[in-house]
Amino acid sequence: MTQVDLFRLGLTYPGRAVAALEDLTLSVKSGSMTAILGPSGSGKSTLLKLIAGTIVPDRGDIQFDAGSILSLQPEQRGAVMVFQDHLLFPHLTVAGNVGFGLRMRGVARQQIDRAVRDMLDKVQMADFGPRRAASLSGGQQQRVALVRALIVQPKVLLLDEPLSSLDAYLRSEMRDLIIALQRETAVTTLLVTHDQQEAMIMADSVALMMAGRLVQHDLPDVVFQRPASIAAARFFGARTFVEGTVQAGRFVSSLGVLDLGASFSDGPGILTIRPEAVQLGQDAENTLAATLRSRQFMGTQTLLRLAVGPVELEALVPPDRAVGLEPGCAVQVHLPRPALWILPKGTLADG
Amino acid sequence: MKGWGRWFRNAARGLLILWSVAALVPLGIWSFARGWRFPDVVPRTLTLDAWRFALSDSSGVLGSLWISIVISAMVTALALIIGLPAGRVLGLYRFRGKTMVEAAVLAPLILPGNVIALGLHGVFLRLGLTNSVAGVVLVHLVPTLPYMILVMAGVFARYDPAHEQQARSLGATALQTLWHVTLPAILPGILVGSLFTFLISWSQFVLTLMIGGGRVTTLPLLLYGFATAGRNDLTGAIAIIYILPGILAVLATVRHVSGRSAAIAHAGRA
Repeated sequence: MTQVDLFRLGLTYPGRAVAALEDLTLSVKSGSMTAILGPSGSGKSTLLKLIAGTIVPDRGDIQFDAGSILSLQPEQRGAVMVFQDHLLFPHLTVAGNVGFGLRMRGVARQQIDRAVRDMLDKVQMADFGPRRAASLSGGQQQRVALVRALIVQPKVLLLDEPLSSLDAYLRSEMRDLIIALQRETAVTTLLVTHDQQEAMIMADSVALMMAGRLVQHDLPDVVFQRPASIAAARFFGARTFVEGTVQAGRFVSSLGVLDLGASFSDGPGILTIRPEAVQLGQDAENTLAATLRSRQFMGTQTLLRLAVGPVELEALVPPDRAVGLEPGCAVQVHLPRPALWILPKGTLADG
Repeated sequence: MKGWGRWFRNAARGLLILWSVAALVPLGIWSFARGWRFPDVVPRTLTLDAWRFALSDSSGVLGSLWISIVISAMVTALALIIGLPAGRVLGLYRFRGKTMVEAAVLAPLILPGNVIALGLHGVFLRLGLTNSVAGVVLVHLVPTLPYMILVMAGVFARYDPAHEQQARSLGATALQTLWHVTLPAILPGILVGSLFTFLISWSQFVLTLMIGGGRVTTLPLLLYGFATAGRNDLTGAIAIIYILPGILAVLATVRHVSGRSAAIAHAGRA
């Protein structure tokens, strides 16, 4: 159980003009699973490497339980990394791989053997000990890599895109296994992923990173439903942004006057709504007359592009609701109050 | 077509074996012969005299064998110490001027050995390295180091250094990581590079003669002396002693080397 604190971390790779990480402060609660979520190139993996000790930050501090670890060698930190491509040692057996960390610590042979057996048991691979690492499937390799990290009882577990190299059908199984092992060991875990669904399902809290900066760190549903910026909202799939003004619980813009559910402070702001929150048909509140521009069948949902005056509005609806709607026809949509979110004004330029 | 292909392969293989063994047959006969002259097809009498003399103290063969072994072993060790990090940099990283560095590494292979020896002789003279084992070892690095660096660069080009980061994060010190992770991964390359280096150093003649000034008599120098003196029986015996370590070195490493070549052959077929 270790609390991890990052203070104003900054790093610029040699020869690069743009910083890989800038002024990043993040507090990870002891025993929690925190997802570091962001598009590729946002500095997520750099962050893990800084904690693991593979690279050293230019600025800032990293603390485990309020003590700086920056001066410690990687092997002294107790932060174990599990890489995306498993990185099993090819010249060792499965048991040799799992026992590697204990062997390096000089643990007695019998103790290692017992611990390795227990660990392989946990991931239903008890019989795989003598096998060569290279003879395993991708999912098996990932499970071995996971218990190889957990066997040394790390203070902090660093998972770098643990599911992205797996086939889709293995992913949910591995996801559940990681969640179960993390709950059981209560090891403080940082999970790097670019997959928002993965982050929502697995993590206790989500830290959204973009362009080397922390954009937002909160509970998964908060990060998803109440994005801090246009870029964050876009990352989670929002496509509609409307400039306007908040006046006493109402939003005045080119969409007309909309009732807001939550209380936002008065003044200029940008309204956003997720496409699946836009409803077809009429309701007591926030009903708008729109014209259908285009319709795109997407399997489980149909994407409608609507025009409300000068504003383009995207809506994701069940396919059967979109039957008979042809481009050019007039439709009524309503925007439920809880789904409306106002971004503080001044972020339109960043988006 | 398939039958012909196999026939051709077998024929080529046979020729290759014949080619390498053919030279050894007269050497072997010579070493046991006394008075084997034209037009005799086989020697009149067989004798162990040549071998007895070759293995005695007075011939200097055993002393030369020892010097040769010491020099080639030292060259191999030094080439490894230099070639391993150099090959790692060339194999793993991309940097400005890399092509220039690679060309510089290859340059000694293009220049004839005696040109290098002439040029280096003056330098070594000034440094007091001529006529010494140390000087010969250093000059042997010139033709061997390119092979060592190229082999190691090839090994590291297919090596993922993230394995080292993984080992460190699992609790291995830098030294433990080198010993338990890096070395096992590059061992085949180390063996191949060492084999090349040892054998190339083993067969050096001109460089040894010019820098060693005749004082450092490695086996090829001694062999040349007996060969030019017309002692065919002694030449045969010493030549066989001279060839032996190379064969032993190949046999000792063939398991690892052929593993690699099997992998290469496999890749070639794919």
